[in-house]
Amino acid sequence: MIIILTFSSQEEQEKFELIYSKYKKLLLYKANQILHDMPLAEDAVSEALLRIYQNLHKIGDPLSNQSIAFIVTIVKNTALTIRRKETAKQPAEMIDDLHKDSFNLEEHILSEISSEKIYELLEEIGEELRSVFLLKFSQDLSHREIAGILQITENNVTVRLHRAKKKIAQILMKEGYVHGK
Amino acid sequence: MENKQQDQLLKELAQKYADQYGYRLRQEMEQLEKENVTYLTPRLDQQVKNLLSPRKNNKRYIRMFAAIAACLVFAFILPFTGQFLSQNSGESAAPMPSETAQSQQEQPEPPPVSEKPQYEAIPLQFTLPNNFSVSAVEQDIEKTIYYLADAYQDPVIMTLKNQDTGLETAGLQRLFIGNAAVYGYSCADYHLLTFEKDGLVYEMTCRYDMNTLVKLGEGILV
Repeated sequence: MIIILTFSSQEEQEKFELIYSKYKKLLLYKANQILHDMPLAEDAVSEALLRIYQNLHKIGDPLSNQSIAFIVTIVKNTALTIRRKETAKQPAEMIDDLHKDSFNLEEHILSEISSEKIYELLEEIGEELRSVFLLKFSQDLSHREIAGILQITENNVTVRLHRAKKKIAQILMKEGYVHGK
Repeated sequence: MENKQQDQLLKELAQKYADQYGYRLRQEMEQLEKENVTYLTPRLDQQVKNLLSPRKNNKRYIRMFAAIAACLVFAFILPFTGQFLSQNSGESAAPMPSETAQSQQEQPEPPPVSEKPQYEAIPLQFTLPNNFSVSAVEQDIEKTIYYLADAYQDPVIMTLKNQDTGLETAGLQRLFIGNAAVYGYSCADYHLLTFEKDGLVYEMTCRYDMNTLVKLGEGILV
């Protein structure tokens, strides 16, 4: 038991070291794009690394596209949280009208939309909503895990997820990929 | 389309986005390398080093502890093993075929490989007031999330979970609906109300008016 745990943490430690050495520059660059302040960007990366460290088990191959997306999502959100604290602004969470929530996302549409187009469409929903959406649907995390990573309440996760889905539905409808109920 | 199918498609959408995003980040990283951008971050490097070094020490302690524990177990078991072997030397050494079969049957099955437990949706334990209707239902591990549309335009998100996880009341104000204690929070962006009833924890949120939640709470508690 002890040996397995030691081995497991050694593997995780190597994974963590690899992530840091490989992506440090990119992570600082991304955090600095949001904060425009290198010491603050360093703080953001440091804080984000702790969250990544706590969620290492969620990262399969650290070199995969999915893993880079996951890691950068955490860093960007940590930077956004720091920026909000710096500007003393609170995020505006809203629950919108649920009547307009329903839509038909038909199976065939995913084969019709290219990955580039999906990227462009999801860029429109904004970083805060997109992060929750990605952590939920790409990383398959629970609301509690997402709340822990993004340092928000579980309730906020639910609200943001709802808004993200609604916005995606609106964008897909606008683009003519889906139709409302 | 059913929620499950919808979620599956959203999952595919998210995964395609993440893949494309990762691909673009990789290109950005290569560009940074080409531009020879360097960041000198001694503070960050030190923080990461500190994060890693205690783990190395911990590992040393774990290995040391494991070695000592193994020695103790060995020292404790060895005399008994000798006794046991000498006692049984007269008896037949080979087990009967039926015994072998039985012992093989009794071997514990290997634990299942990290399967997520499946939870069933918790049904509503009360009748919704006339102005509410269920717009969607989701299952997030052990929690069931109901999206309630409101005829008065103040929709509610209500989460139900079993009481085992307990009620989180930090930062919430204690209120009473009838004789039941409930906990609430209001800010410019939303209102929150949470309480326990019949082994379930209810957590509900709306955008505009705390009274929307209080009335819904009355329907459950009173």
